[in-house]
Amino acid sequence: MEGSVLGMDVPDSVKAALLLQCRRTADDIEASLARRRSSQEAYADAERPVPANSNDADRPPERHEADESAAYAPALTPGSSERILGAIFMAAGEGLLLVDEDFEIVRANQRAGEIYGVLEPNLMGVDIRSFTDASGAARLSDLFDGLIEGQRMSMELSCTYVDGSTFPATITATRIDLDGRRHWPLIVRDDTDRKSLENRLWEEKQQTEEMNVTLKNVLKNIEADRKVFETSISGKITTLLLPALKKIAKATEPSVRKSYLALFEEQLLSLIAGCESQPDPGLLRLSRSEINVCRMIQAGCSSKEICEALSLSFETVQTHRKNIRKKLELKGSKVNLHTFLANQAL
Amino acid sequence: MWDEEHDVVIVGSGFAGLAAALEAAKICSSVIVLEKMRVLGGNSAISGGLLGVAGSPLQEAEGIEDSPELMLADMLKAGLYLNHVDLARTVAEQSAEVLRWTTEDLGVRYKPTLSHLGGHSVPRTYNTINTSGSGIIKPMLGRCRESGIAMRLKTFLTDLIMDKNGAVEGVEVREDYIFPHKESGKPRRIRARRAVVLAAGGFSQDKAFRLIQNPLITDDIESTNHPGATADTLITALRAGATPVQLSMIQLGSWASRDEEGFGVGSMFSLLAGFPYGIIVDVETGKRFVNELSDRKLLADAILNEGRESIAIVDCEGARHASTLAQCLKRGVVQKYESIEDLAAANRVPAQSLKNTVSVYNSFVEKRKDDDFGKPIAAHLSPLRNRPFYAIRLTTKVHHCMGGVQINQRGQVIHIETHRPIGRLYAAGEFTGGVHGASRLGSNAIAECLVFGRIAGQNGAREPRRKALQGARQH
Repeated sequence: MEGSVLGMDVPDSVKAALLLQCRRTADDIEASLARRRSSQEAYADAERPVPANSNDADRPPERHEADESAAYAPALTPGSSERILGAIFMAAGEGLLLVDEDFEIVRANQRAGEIYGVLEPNLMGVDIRSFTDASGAARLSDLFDGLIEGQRMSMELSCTYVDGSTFPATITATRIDLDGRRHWPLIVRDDTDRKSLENRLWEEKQQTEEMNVTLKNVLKNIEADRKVFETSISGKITTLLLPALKKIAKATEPSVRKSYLALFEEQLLSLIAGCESQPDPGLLRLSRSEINVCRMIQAGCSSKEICEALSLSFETVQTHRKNIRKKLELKGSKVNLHTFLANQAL
Repeated sequence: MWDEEHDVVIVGSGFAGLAAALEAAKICSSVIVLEKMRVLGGNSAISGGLLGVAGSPLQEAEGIEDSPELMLADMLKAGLYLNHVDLARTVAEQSAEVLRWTTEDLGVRYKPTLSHLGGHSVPRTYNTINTSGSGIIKPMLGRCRESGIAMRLKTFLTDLIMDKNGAVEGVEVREDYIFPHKESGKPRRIRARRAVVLAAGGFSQDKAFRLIQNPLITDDIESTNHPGATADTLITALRAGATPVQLSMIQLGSWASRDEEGFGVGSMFSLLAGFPYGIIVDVETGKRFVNELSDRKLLADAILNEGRESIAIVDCEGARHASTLAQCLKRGVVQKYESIEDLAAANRVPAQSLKNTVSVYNSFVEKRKDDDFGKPIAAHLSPLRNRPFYAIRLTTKVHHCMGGVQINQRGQVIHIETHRPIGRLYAAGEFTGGVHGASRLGSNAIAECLVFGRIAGQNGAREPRRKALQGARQH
């Protein structure tokens, strides 16, 4: 007689073989289940089953599942793994909450209690929406309704501390369904520090930008001042100096020329009046060799060094010094020439 | 020498500590509250929010005659006349004012009806709208914030520092303390220019300490308190010379549920519905064994001494008074049954005996007299007939420490040798002893904490101000 397996005609012999195979598989499953049961009992009794053949030294000992699990995690009983999970949950650095369909908190960890200022047992049964304002509550509802199982979403909202003060927080929600009811595990992060850092960064950025604008304005003003200054200089040169120069060139009488020159000098001095590094007017009276000597003095050289550098006799240098002091109107004063010259532009 | 200084330094952030802080802040500028735990409010925040008041507006509205004298008489009777009468009287006399303060100044909202708790001769108990002490703590914390009162969490008192005249000059604390590790955190010294107020609560969770005081309260008895209710600050005060009062008077509560930890939601079911409107039954016999409205000590003794396992049963009429019913059912703390038979079967109570007990009790209710245990049968009490029925599995937990340090009516801590106040040292609330004697009546703790907290805060802030020190942080 022919039978049909999965819609295919197969001979009886094959069918018998298949049946046998099925029976063996079923036996295997049963045996494995039995082993698992015994290993669970072993967990519960905290005792390992003694292998039946343990006293038979000739045969290698069979490996029992209970032995394997015991070898992998000797200290782990079902109770302790739950405790470990509980401990991890409680110790987590962010606030962890489990919220049910009534928006009630059913589990909370330490950090969550700290964030809201409420002892964990007191958080149980509290409506999560009571920790935020009306708009936050509405957004939380929307977030919960919108989530499908396994999806994760975050939102920022304003939360309320136990003393009524508010703080910024980020809520990350997922959804899991337990016993046919929807639950939302939440991670709550207090953003007070992050927000204040962000605010400070933003304030600093604002300040830098303001500073930029100010500097640009300053630069513009300087540019404008410079133009005004240039205009005034060129105006003075064309209206005063150039005509004076022409007169000097035309003058034949040395005395006339001399008086023009004095006038010219006065004009020049008036041009540089008000400049910061205003040269001492006396400096203009110095001769070329006197200025050379001054530069040496300014550089800190001694008279002897000046003699050598400029190939002058010591007496000549001393005479130059005397004349320089006279022209700079330092004669009789105690001011050191080197000190005086130190701040002068030569 | 000092890291910072304030006018008044308060240890503890429950009812007493915050009441002291709020009063002190009205008088002086710089008040700081130190709390060793990670959150504020201590036991107060997880309590049931019951406030006993003699001569309240609700009593007047309901036509209940009451007076501070009657409340005092109830306190003394329950306290087996071991109360320090002047302190108990202060609480009774100021209870009405403290109620006014919470509603008018703090904006606390209460339910519109009074509860009748065991040991009180009349209904005089207000209950916050959310059936929790947080209904008072939250407004207090809000007001503290507005008043600029500094709150320091995770700050653990390690010593009281005395000046050369023997008055308290400040405290030594560990900041960034991690409960319960004594060595955690860094030491810091805080100076008190005017006074230090100790409001650190009781030691119901301190199994070692309570066993010394009362060897009957063994390690296996849990507590309704939060884990921080330890004797550390009490010991610090004793070291500074405070006088201990009745430390062995430790209250057991028999209203808590076997099916949840701590005070939970079941306690308020028992207190508001199970006891006043229902019966307590021995699981083994199915019989009543006590007046359900007797004071806490008698109740706990009746349960604990006999090693009884008991349940409280109420019908749907009585269960309406339990505002935590929905939460209790949701968490499996209270179970609902369609018949007494179902209830008996599920709780393994002999069914016939239980049915008899209920019908006998119902007959007492109808004739307005409890022949067996003398439970006062109030006019609005009705027989247990309306299904569904509700049951809660009761257990006994350590609830309150009547004992503590001795204070006078001004809230000053009394020295053990001189019997005179220790300079500038005040205390209030469960931290102190004597108000309740051998047993505290339900709903009298909040009254005590608020009354003496305010007194300690006011008097502490009026101490002459010490000169500010150079170098210490000014506030």
